[in-house]
Amino acid sequence: MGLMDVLLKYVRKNVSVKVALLLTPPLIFLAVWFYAPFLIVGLYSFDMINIYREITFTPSLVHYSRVLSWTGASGIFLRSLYFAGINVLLCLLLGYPVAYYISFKVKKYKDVYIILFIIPFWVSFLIRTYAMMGLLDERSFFNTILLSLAIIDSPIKIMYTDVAVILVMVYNYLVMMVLPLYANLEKLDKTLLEAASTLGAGPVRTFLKVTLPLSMPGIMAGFLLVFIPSVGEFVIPELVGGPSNYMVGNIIYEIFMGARHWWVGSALSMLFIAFILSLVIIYIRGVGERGLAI
Amino acid sequence: MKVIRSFLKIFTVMVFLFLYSPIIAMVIFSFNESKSLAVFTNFSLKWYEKVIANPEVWRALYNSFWVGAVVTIISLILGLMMAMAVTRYSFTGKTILESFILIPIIIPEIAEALSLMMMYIFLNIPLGPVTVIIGHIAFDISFVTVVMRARMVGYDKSIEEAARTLGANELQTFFRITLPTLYPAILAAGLLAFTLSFDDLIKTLFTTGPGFKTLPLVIWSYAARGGVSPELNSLSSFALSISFLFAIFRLRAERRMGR
Amino acid sequence: MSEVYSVELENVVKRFGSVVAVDHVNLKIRENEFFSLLGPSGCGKTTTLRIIAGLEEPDEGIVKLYGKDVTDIPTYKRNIGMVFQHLALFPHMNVFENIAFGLKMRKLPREEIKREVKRILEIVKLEGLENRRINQLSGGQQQRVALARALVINPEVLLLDEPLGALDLKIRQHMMVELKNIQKRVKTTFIYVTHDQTEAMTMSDRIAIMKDGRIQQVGAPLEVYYKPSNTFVASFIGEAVNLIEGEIKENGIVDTSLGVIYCSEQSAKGKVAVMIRPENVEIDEKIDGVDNLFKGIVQAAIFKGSYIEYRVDIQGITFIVHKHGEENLGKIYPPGATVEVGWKKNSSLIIPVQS
Repeated sequence: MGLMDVLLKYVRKNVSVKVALLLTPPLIFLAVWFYAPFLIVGLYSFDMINIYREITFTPSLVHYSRVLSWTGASGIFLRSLYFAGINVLLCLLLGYPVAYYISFKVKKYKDVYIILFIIPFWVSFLIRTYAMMGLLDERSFFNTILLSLAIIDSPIKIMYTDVAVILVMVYNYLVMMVLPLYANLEKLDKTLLEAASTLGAGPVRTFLKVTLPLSMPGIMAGFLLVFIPSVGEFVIPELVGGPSNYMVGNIIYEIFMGARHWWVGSALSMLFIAFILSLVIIYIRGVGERGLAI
Repeated sequence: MKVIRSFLKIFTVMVFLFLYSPIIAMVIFSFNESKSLAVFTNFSLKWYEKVIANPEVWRALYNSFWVGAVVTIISLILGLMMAMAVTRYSFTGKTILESFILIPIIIPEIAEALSLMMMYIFLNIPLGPVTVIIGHIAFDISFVTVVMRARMVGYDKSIEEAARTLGANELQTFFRITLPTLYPAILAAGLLAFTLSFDDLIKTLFTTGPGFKTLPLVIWSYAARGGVSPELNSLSSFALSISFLFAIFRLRAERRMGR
Repeated sequence: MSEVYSVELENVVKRFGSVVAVDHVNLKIRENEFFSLLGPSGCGKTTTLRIIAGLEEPDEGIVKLYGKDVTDIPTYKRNIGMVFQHLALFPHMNVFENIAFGLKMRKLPREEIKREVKRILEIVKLEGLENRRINQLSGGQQQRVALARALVINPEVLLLDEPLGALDLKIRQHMMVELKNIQKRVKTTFIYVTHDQTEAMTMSDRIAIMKDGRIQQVGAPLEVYYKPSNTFVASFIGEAVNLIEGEIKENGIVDTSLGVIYCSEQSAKGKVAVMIRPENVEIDEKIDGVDNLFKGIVQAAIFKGSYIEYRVDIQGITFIVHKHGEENLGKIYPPGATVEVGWKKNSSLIIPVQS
């Protein structure tokens, strides 16, 4: 019996050894390169690392109190929530009719519609954002056409406004709303709608009393998939917004890379992560574990 | 009913227009001879010539590819191990482990990227391709695990037992039975991992060292510096065609698996 | 010279958590025997089979193949073949590659592999399908591939885990006959796990009936049908059975709630049950020449094709009678009719009550 046989036999007899062998490498990788960085940031935020990069064991909340006493902080968090909220709402308003139309009204070539819908999202996030910059630019053909048709008398200045940030967000996140909605509407038993209409419900009542309530799981899944990443958005405000449209991610970036104040930046990061995680926990409490099953 | 139907149809068409017009405009104006973003004067390839003549673009493209390849292979191995452990065995702490896997997907990338950068600096690790690759993998493992786990549900373990009764030991079983039957899951997860790495901006931005740029980084530096320009239009259209190529490859692979 | 056993289990125990799946099982399976493990789901029959295969490790006890202790030998060194419940064909290989897999693992030369696969394909009647993909085969064909794959390695024992479960009735009946023929031809021990008594009865030389991890009885099909070792076996085997509990009065006479029942002689004591198979009972307005005779009222008469099943109420106990024979088919006693029910004493068997 070779060494290999002995080893194999040992592993075969011990399921826990098997599990440990499988889990150790990925978990160590995650622990070292994903979780440990947050530990470092945590130490910075509690003032436990000094400027010489030495760990000191004198924790302090001074940086947290600085963040919290900064009057702008709550405004930034509120703006992030506000942008993300408007984004979700617009994605739902634009996305629901589209998902509904494809699922209920299109008879043939549903797949073609869906693929056509997805194709723009094959393009990377950055390039999609850049393409929107081209459209929103003062010098764009869009403005030129409106000007020449005399619909407007001076070019619309959307770039570097809240509107630009939200528009580009909707443009980027719409797919995250439509796909779960569509999947949900497709699974919906359409004989239920027929049943409702045989019972005397008109199309509007059928929609409000049957379709809409039944599509809530899809809406909730879309909500999570759009809301959470857009609260943490960084690229869009950076490219199509300015300091007055900054979200939490941009402020953290500014404190780290601009002011180079790692302690305050870390404290803000920790608060931000706690904020996002509590949003997810609230969502799971409210919707249940199923909401994450997408 | 008719009215609702036509309204929905027009609405859907408008949304599609909203989705396509920026991209199509970008591609069209990348072929414009003049610098104007409003008037198309003449068809020209001069912006493409400029892009092609730029060695920085080629270097970045090359970097994106090899970083993507390394990231994909390592994420696949680590993600496969994780997915196999989670789908095949029950053990204590599994629920905690699952949230451990999901958290990297939930936390905003900017917070994650800055934290990793902080650790690199704290530990005096020189920034460069290796730090970029590590950052991408730390992020991709979770996605790979989730995709693989979804595809491994309902995997029939008895084919492995069958192989053992036919005289294959554990290693032979793994390489001749387990791995080949998981091919669709591996392909799907691998393509996702590559795309995530190839398109990644934020992680790369904060973990790269001097001189090492990937394609999104080049586009970012132009866009953040000068805004919209015809040259950037053509570079973006060029990158777009690469993304499309991948997407078509992915679609075909999925079709083949579906059969 | 002592008899050769292909498989021996000695005091085998397997627990899953607090559940004892296999409870001190002892089995000696003869060479080239068609042996069935029969029982309801969850009785431990599949676990027993998997222990023989080495796919489960027993907590206690010994497994022997041809006299050799293999308890610590891994599956892949045991030289057994196994056909799985859901067949477990390799989806990424074609028919030839599936069947050749075991031979490749044994590092046979290519030419020999080809020859062996060809030989086995002929036995299972699948010639010419070598290059088909698995999903291009019918259920019955997949069945044969699974069988061929397990047989081609010339296993010392072939283990079959409810392999016919997924097939529809007609193909299943056909496959039963075929399996038996193949077994005769390849001359190997077959151990067959099933919950379907028809399958077990049709094919087996001997059957082991299991319940709650314990073996209840081992015997030939006729033996377990007519001489069940306890009430569980009696009610599990056969379509229906009449069991009446009582106490032994004297040798061959049991005192029951219906009164005294005369039985074939049997040495037993205390609380017992009397088993009477429904087809051994006569039913008529007037019956002569039987040892046990009762009056009853017909509750239901169900036409079952080749016979009529009567449910007769005798002093509050429902008694089942199967009436065969053409001359009776025209005459059906309707519900409510008063009839006589009777049987000879060698048709009633005293068996222990299963606790």
